[in-house]
Amino acid sequence: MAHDHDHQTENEGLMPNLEHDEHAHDDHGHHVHVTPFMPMLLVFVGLLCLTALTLWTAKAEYFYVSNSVNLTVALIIASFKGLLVAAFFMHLIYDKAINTVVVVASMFAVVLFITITMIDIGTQDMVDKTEKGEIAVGGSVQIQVDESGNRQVTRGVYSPFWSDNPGLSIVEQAKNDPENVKKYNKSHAHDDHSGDDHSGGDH
Amino acid sequence: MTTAPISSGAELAAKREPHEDYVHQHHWRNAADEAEAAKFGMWLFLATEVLLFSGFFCAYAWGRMTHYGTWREASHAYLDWKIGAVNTVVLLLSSFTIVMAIRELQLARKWRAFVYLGITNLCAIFFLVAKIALEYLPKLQDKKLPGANFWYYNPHGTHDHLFMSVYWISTATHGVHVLIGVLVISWAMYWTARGRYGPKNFMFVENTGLYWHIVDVIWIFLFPMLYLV
Repeated sequence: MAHDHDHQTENEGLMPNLEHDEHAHDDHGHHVHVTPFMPMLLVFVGLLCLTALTLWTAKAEYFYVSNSVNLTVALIIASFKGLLVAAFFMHLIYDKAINTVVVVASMFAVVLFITITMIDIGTQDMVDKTEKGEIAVGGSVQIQVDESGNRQVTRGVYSPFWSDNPGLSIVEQAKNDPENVKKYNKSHAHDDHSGDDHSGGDH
Repeated sequence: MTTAPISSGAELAAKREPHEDYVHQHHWRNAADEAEAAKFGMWLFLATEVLLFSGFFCAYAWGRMTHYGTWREASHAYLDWKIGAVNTVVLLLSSFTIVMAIRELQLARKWRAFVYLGITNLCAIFFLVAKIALEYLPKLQDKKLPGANFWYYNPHGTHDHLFMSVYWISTATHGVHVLIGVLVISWAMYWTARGRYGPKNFMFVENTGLYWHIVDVIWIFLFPMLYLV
């Protein structure tokens, strides 16, 4: 009977107490955070407003900048909406930080996958050019020559593959090097003279 | 025994609900540890869900970059953004109501929680019905199918079928998640009505809510990507 009575008093006290301080206690003093009403309602209204904003920025003619800019804007708004849902609806700001760690880790993976995919696609047209030796990743060498055609200075030039004037490959650089041009002409002079009848007039 | 008024101890003792006598499993130190561990486990599962959908987002990024113009045109030609917008609002509402259901359980008001869960479930069913009746069935009849089954009746571009592949796989996977959500929320409704969940024990409903929110968040991203821009 005493046991029942304990429960009874607890029950009678439970409801008004809860309404008052919004915290429930179980038999072991376990502190339960009761989801607050007003913040959640505000988050819901905020989500509806952001949905309207997404529709507006995506559909209004005067908001159209370009294909990719509008996609970026839409994704930023969507990320903000997702953040609101995760932080409030999914209780992350009230919970232990370890749950947030899991979310951040999975988000990191998503961003990593998409970034690597985009880098891969964005550089695919460089593969052929690089393999053919038309361009070199990482830049080129600038060679300064004096009046007599001798190499004076060789300088590295930063001109990566995405620049307007991407760096030459090692093969192309070697072909342009005056020292090599001299050697090439010396060693191939005989071949040029006898091997090709049509070019005989040049010599 | 005399007939007592409704607020008497005997009457309340007779009306005790299962959740009031909830005791955590014996291998936990206390109820707080049990609830936190269950929640953490749910978050780990949600991380795998995010990674599942990240594959579809990568496919989208690929299509967007390799078929820059047609991607947008196909989206505008085959998808109706108004259906997507209504479904977005419906899912947001359902997310809010399931949050409220958990609040009512924490305050030991089970019938209010039941009604909120019911609204959530109706929203989920509305989403599925709208999706199937207004989008999937017309597209099936129109042969706007993924990949090689796509029929270029009136083509807007040369790579529309790739867009439809990404559309079908991502929305169908999401739809399956909504369907699972309907079943799980129905389960939660049944046991809420039976009095299993209350201030001491709302772990199952809370984890159902987490699952439902991740379904909502994924739709928050799919909607603008597929329907709008």
